[in-house]
Amino acid sequence: MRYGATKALDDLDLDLPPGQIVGLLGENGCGKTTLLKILAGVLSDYTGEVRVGGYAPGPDSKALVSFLPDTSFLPDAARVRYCLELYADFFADFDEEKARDLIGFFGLNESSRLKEMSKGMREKVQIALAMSRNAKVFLLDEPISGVDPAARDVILDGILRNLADDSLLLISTHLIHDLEQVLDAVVMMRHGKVVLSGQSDDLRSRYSASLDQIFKETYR
Amino acid sequence: MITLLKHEALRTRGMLGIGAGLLALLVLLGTVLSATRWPILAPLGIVFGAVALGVLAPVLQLLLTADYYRSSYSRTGYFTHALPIRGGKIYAAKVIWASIVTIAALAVSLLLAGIYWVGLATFLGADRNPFTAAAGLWDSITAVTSTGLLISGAVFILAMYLVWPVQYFFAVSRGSEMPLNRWGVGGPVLIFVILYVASQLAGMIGLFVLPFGLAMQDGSLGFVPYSLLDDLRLGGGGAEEIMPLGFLPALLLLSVYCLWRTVRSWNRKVSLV
Repeated sequence: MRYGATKALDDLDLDLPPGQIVGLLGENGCGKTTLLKILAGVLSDYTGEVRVGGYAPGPDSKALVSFLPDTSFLPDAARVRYCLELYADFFADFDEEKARDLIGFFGLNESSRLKEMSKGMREKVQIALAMSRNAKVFLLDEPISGVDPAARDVILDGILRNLADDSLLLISTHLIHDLEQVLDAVVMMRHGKVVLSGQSDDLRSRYSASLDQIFKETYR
Repeated sequence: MITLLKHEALRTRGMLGIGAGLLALLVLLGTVLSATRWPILAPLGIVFGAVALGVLAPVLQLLLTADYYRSSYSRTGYFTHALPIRGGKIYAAKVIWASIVTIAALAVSLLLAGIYWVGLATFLGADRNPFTAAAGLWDSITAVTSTGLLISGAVFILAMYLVWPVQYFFAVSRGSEMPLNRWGVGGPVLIFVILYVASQLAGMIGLFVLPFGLAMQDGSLGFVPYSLLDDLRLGGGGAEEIMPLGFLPALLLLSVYCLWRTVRSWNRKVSLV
């Protein structure tokens, strides 16, 4: 995958089994977002083979994938209530009750418009919607960046609140310290390549260090 | 498809309502001003009213094009392209919705034209009843035009309106593919300029290659053989009586290409940056 002369992903070979929370880690511009976009089926100019739940990116894979991009992807003028209707209409695996539970958990009002909300509140709405699908794969691009540390904990609780045991959660971030305790595995990327990957416990024991320390050492 | 159309309508209704409402107000203002017969203001009212009437459908089409860009290739495009629906089907819903809006806008324009006529007729000192004026216009058209030609003409006018969203959407989709997508709206604008030049060339080639036109014959309007090449060779004397139509199939072919290529773009070439 290239952006002009720059290789965004280079010879990437990755196999992620279901039933785990995987941290996709790396500096800005290392290819995390590009990888998530390809898996979500919103970026098609790549070479190589991609399979999500056995399907190439397309309508079949999108039915299994819940994607949270690193941007506000719902209409600014929409009310939370309309966003719930939007998801219920288009995603067969959307659980409206679960979404209402999360909206309440985040302390949000269904009659509020997105444009009247702070960045953190909008992020919570989007997370409530994305995490209320009974999806096999969740792709979250930097869900806790840009929000204050107190809100990060609430958002993380919301993400994990209803996560099914057999789902794969791939979450990109550089705030590894906040996610250290919940990650089952990590994939560290640099210049479009995987530089280190493995189960969190294996890596901790191999390097006798926390993921945060391993991360800092890797990108030193 | 019904669900897609429902959300197209819900998302764009406010924007379309404001656009149509403002233009309708301009037509009404123009009507009132022209009815006053005041110097300067009345002619201005006639001009503003006519312009507002004429641009109603095109303005709504441009507003839908802006929404097409926003909902497909800007921030909210991430939601659109994450739907478990084939891209071509989402695109089809957008084209169908744009066609419905265009037809509705033309119907509203006709209605507003009736109101506008009251002001214009007052200014001209003519009969102010729009139905009498419409009946007179209808009689003069049907006197020289067969039913078949009349239907063809109506279909032609409608097709000329409906091809615009197809071409606009093509420019947006093709201009949002790699590598032009890094230019933001610059990509679609560039593709539209190229498409405009291509449509002019296609129309010109059509005029030379397809030798037929529309002309008065024995007191009625009908299709006649007409070669623009021969006419130019002979000094162009016949062009005033005949309207060449060879450009029409060429433009329709170009629009069919735009439709096909945009479906392909939605199904295989999406690249959100």
